[in-house]
Amino acid sequence: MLVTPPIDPSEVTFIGPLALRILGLTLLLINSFLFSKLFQKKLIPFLIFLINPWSVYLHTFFTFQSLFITAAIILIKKGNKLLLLLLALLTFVYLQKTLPKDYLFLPKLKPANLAFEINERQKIDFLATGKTFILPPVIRKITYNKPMLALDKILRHFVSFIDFEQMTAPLESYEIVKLSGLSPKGNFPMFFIWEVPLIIYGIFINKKLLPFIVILLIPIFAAEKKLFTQTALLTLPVFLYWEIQVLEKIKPKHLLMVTAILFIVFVIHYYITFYTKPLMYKSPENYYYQEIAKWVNKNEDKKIIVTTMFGPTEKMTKYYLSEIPSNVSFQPFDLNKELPQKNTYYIGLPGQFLRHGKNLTADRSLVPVIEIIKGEDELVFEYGENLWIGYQK
Amino acid sequence: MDRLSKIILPLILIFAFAIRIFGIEKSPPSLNWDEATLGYNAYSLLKTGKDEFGKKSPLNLRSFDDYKGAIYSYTVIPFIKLVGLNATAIRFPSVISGTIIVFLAYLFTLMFFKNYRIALLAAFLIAIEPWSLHFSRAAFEANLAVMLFLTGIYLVVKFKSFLFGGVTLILSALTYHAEKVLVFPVAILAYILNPTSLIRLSTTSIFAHYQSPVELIKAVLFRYFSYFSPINLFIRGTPEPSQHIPNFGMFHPIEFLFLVIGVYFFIKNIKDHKVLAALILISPIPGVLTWNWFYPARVLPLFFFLSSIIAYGLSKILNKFTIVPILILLASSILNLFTSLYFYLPYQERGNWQYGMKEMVGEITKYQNGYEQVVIETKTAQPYIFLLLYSGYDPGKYQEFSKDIPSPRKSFDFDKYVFRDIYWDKDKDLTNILFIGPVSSLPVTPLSEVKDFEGNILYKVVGTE
Repeated sequence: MLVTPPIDPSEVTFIGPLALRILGLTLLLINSFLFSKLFQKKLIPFLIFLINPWSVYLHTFFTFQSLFITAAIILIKKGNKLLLLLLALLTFVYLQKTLPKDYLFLPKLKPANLAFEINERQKIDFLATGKTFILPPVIRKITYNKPMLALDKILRHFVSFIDFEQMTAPLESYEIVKLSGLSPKGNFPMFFIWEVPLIIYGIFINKKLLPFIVILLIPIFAAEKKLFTQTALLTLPVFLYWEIQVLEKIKPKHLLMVTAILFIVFVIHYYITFYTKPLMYKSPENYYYQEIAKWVNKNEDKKIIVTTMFGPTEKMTKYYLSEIPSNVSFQPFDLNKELPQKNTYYIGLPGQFLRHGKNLTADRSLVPVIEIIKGEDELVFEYGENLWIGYQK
Repeated sequence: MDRLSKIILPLILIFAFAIRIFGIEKSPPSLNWDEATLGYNAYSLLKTGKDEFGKKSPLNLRSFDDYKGAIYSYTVIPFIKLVGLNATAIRFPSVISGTIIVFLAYLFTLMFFKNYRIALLAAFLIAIEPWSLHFSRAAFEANLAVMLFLTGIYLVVKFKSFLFGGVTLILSALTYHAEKVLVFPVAILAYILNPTSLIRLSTTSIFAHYQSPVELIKAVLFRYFSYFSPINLFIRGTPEPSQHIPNFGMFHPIEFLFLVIGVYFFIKNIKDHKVLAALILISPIPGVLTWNWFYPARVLPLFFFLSSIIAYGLSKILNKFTIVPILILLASSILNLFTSLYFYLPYQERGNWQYGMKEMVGEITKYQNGYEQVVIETKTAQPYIFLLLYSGYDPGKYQEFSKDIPSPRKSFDFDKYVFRDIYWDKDKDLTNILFIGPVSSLPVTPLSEVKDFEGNILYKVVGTE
């Protein structure tokens, strides 16, 4: 029921949390198996697909979307470029329809948006000279024009995909990754660092797959860089195909030794992180939903008021528990302004227990705090980083 | 040199020099603290033969306890003689180095690919690439060092001139810390002769930041790959505030396509290009051994060699059908770069270049006579160096104050100048003091105001009787 990793509200469907996660794992196994069928020796491809961070991430958190990967593997095996193109377009349309509108890439290429950007840039150039100089119209026509800007944006978007930091170390390299406007949360690595040189070398030794990758990259133009892990999902089997082609060239003894060492160093560390430290890669609200459901489940006979301040806690509790106990209610309470009800448990952000601001400590709470669920980010400005559970006798 | 090169190469060099020197006083918008210290130490060496701390003919400048190489300051001296102590003089050696690097691009690429057309393309590309243009327009020791480093390598590889090549390589290592790593024996020699010269390594080294060997290995690997990450090279650039032109990475985005093609043919013919491959693979090492992510100043040789590959790729697709679209794309990107460089950078990023210090010192100079003490509050680190530089303070006199300053340095006060926060409630009762500080610290009618070019007040100048 309350399995890790936490579930995002966008994942909520008619399938319960346990079934959803089991489905994800099953699909991962099926896709790993299908992927291994692309090769004569099947064990290494199966394992590589199974342990790849991006593969695990996609099958766990984007279970239904991973069916597109299944289709891609089947079509790569058939070698049918036309059907692959159709699949890429279908994926593009699906992403276009389902992803949040704020993240879509195509609207950025609308003439009105391009014109606005061009005007803003010219304005800055003019202000920079103290409003004394503006470039001649001919130069401005060459420098600032909509087709060139659109082309530049498309090119930049494409090159942005080849980001070794985001692919291998989004958390460690946050200092530079954040220049792309990326939050470290929700960006799990796509490959282990040692896979990158293998893939690059693989591209060189098997150029036949280049047309495939060009087709399968079409969906990356659905949304901005932040969502590349989702939009580039079709390319996963091709990248791993290249990697395995190189691995197959390494002598078995060396391969065994290198694989074993890399397994110990990276894979175990990765899985431990993935299953035990969800806060490292998922935003805390998903973790809070799960913790709230756990707490409510343990204390179903008690009167509990749960905050609705940071997200759909009611929807998520219902999803996790199937049914919400009758004495549990959901509301954006503020104990600084309202009198606490007697014999009631409150679950909410620190700023709901005392006047919100900085340095919120449990000992100053208006209702005694009996438990603190540790988070890492402030979900609401000046409402504190953790989730508090208070009890009014 | 073929006939085409004899005509085109000088044109490329003149163009490279022109775009590097044009508007150099205005973009970057002011001298940053590193440039200021290189400039003032050059002035000090010119006037007294000693650096600001009174050390005679130094090979390293103590500066901000980061022990910079002193070579750059020596190269500034003739220009101070010629045009005075100003931004043009301080940045001029970098402009010249940048132009020589363009010439070296021609020589190296000719040596690697034995093709005049590719060599000319490489020279042209380096002339207009953001990394080269930017590092040639500010006083970066890194730019001078890479020019010396490349010259040394060329002399050794092409002419087997180990004496001249060796001397040039040693000079490069004495100019900038990163080259010490590439010219490793020099680092050892420098340490034996003067242990403090490597003190900078102890603070920036990656080894000081990771305890576990696994974490250290991962950190080194991640950093190594960051220097080849296309997004860093072509789009994102670096988080270092003074090491980029806004909206640009190290190269033009369109060059990515040329690089891909170049790399393809390069690897295909790798047997002919082993030296270039080795140079590319070792170039990121100085950057990898420090804790920063993607620190361009430490890996300029890498960008230089990658430019050769980009030119190689471009040469493979340049024909009568592609030349027009490629020219249009490149021209648009170059013009965009120029507007970024000459307009956007000085306007939007002036905060990264300690803008306002020159103007502030101008006001101090105007009002300070008759006051017993000058109290300066500024959020800019190392403010004293700007006062020394822009007021042209007598280096001999300053050395009297600086010779006993302990390391690490706690106070920047000298003569009648005091650098501290202003507490106006208490400070208003002090007599005969000139205060310079931000609006929030001086809530009174001032003698004068220092404003930026948009009219925003940066500092107020207030005197007590």
